[in-house]
Amino acid sequence: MSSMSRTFLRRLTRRALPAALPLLASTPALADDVPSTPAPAAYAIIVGANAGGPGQETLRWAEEDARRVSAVLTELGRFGATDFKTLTAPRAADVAREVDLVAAKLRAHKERGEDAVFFFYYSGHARANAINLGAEELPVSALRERLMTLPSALTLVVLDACQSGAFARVKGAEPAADFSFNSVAQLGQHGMVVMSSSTAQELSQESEELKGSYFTHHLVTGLRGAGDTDGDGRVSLDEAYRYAYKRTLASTSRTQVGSQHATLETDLRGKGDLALTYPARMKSRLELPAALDARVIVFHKPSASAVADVQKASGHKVGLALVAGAYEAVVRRGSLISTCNVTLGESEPHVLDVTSCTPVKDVPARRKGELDEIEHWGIEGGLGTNFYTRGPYTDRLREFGYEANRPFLDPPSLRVSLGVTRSLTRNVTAGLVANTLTNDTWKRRVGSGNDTTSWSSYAATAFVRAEADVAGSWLTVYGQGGGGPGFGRVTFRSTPPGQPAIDGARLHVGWVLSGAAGLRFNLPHHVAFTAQGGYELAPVIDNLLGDTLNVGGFSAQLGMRVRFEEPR
Amino acid sequence: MNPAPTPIRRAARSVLVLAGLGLSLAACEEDLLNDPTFRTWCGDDKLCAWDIDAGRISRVPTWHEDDGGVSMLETPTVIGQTLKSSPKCLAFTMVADVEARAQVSIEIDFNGDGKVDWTYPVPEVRWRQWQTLITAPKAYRHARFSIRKAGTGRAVIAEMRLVSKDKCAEGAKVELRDLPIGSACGSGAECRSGICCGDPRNTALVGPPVCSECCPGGTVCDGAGCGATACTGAGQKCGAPRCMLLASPFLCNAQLRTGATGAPCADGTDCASGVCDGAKATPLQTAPCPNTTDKLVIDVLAGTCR
Repeated sequence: MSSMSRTFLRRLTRRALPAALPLLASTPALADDVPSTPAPAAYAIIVGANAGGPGQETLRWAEEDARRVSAVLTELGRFGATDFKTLTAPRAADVAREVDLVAAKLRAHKERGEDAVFFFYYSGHARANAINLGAEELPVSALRERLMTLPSALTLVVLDACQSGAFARVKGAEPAADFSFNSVAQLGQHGMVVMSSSTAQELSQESEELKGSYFTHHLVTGLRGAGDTDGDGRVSLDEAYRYAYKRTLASTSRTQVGSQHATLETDLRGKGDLALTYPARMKSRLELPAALDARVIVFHKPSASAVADVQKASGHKVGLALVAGAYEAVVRRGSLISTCNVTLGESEPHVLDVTSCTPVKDVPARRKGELDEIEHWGIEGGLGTNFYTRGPYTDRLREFGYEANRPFLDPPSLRVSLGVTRSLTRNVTAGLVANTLTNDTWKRRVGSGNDTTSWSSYAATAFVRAEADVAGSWLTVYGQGGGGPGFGRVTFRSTPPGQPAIDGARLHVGWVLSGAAGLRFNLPHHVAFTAQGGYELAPVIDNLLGDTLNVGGFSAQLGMRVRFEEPR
Repeated sequence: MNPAPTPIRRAARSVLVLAGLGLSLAACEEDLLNDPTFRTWCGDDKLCAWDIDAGRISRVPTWHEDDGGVSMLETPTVIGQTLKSSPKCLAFTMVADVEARAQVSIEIDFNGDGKVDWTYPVPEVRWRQWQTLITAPKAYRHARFSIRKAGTGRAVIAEMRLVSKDKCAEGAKVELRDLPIGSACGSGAECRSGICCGDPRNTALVGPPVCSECCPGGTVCDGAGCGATACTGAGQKCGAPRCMLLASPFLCNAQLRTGATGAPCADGTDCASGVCDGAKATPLQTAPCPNTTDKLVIDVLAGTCR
């Protein structure tokens, strides 16, 4: 368990949690035994944003995460009047305006002496001091200030973003200091809770298999009943956090990005546990039998999305409150994997019976906020110059009276390149590139005619590139090396006066070794521009006297890269 | 005093002077050889622009399959051609693959009298450029250049350039000896007769000095004096051949029909017998002599009266 979670538990003990809301906090003995007290009004702003800022890859499931959170709160929460706003791909001003609207409603409740709770959920890109809504940034300090001043009985903030643990750590302030009741003490028994998907140093991750982020997925699964460890039919904040923490850590511990530790900063006063959902109230439940010892992933068939991922231990049954419909449960027991078709009805729970099996592949995870390169393809193109080389071949041409035919300023040769890349790891990319090498024309005057020899040359090389971000994620420095075949075509034309022209051509094949270094300027929408310099050793062309010509040499080019996610 | 020019001489000279000025402006480094890179072949074993004076040749690739050179196959093999013009400085550039035992040399026969006046052995070279420079004789009418292979080794010539240079201070000087009457000359020492007649300061107008039997007016190019240039025979008069344009040899019996057997002659009008054996004249095809069907001649190599 992380230090953050241990801190959380100490606070629970020290401050006599469960505490905050009597309306939500009483602990019923039975699953369907819900409090008889009036449910509070609830407001929520649930934000999902797939697009990120410069250098940030587009997420796939952040907006879907938001919809799932909205659904689980709607289906399983117990509130009075509700107003849940789900904002997908909003602008920063949209979020701020919705917070202001909610603030006005909360003030009205407070003036009437009514309690009201407020949820703020965000899934998307973030940096240490801002959340990224496409090209816009919403500073954490501004968001925090708005949320802290809301006159709610309880404000629950859930952030599923990279380094989201730094949400309360702006300008060196400690999280507890900024989000403690030092600021909201006037609310008496009320408080604020901030749950984050990762620490300030970690990257949050999405899962192709789960079609969502690990953290939100497990949080939602916990809220649907998997987190109900005491079997009381409801999932408290503590249970939801514990479940999300354990399952997120377990799921991400074997990914290439690394482990992800959810954090919880809370400061609540009052009595009783803080119940978030009441899954036992829902008749359409999937019950995992007590004897089952397996990992169970439940997919909603119509949407093909994973709605629950439970590591079920034997000894107690687990109920998952789900909307009635068709599901597929994938059950993994050791190396055995089975899938089960389940139809949940409105009237009674369905007990899972493992009967049929189909293989399921493991898939790697990717970072949230920056897609894992292993799933990326890229197309790169460049324009630049190849600088001419000199050597035995050109020396021989001079011996034979030829001179380079460059009448104006001796311009270098045009370089054109086109390649495809595939990310191997976060910092390593492999690729294939085809590019032009030097092209040149040499002439000698013979009487009233000319002898002309020209060559054009090309390379097709495989390379490995190592790269690292040097200025945030908008600037990347990289170096690469590779090799492959090179091709050269040498033509000869002589025009003797009064005679037919003499024409000849010969194709040469050789090898090429290449090395290059460059800078990449990362823009939104998978586009980047590059500036690259390199050297190619390409002794591809030779003559009948054994002289070789290095058609490579130094080069410089400007390029553009477009990256694509691998189709699945 | 210069020989008195006739009206037709003056007109023809003017044409040649203008042509010469134009040529000199356009040809600072003129290619003096046709087909210096051996590109034009008339058949598999004959170059169109080069004469095969001895032996056999074939076309072979050099640095590139289509950039051919000439391989001198037999011993000896000689190829040559007459230079396009007669500059004072000659720069030779050869690119070749020559073994030492091939004994390759380059040669020049100035004035085309069949006598090689300058020869230079080509060192062993492996597809590299080799150059040399010579200072040509002060005066000559034309020259024939040859490449000779006298040994048995490999000799492939990729390029043989011969260009005129404006300055040739570093080049070896080529001096001629024993030139016959009518040959262009730079001094009396070059002439078999010992007399080189003409005005070397005015060659564009009157042509180069030529080896002569005598020299009217004593205008001798080498400045050695004119005392020995007068004709001594009875009735003789130092004069030029009939219908001669320029660079004419001066003879004591010119047009007098008095030349004894063995006396130098330009044509039969110089000889008592009316027959001049061995004289070689270069006629100017488009310019007939006045009142005759003969052609105007621009140079004469003297023969002897029968």
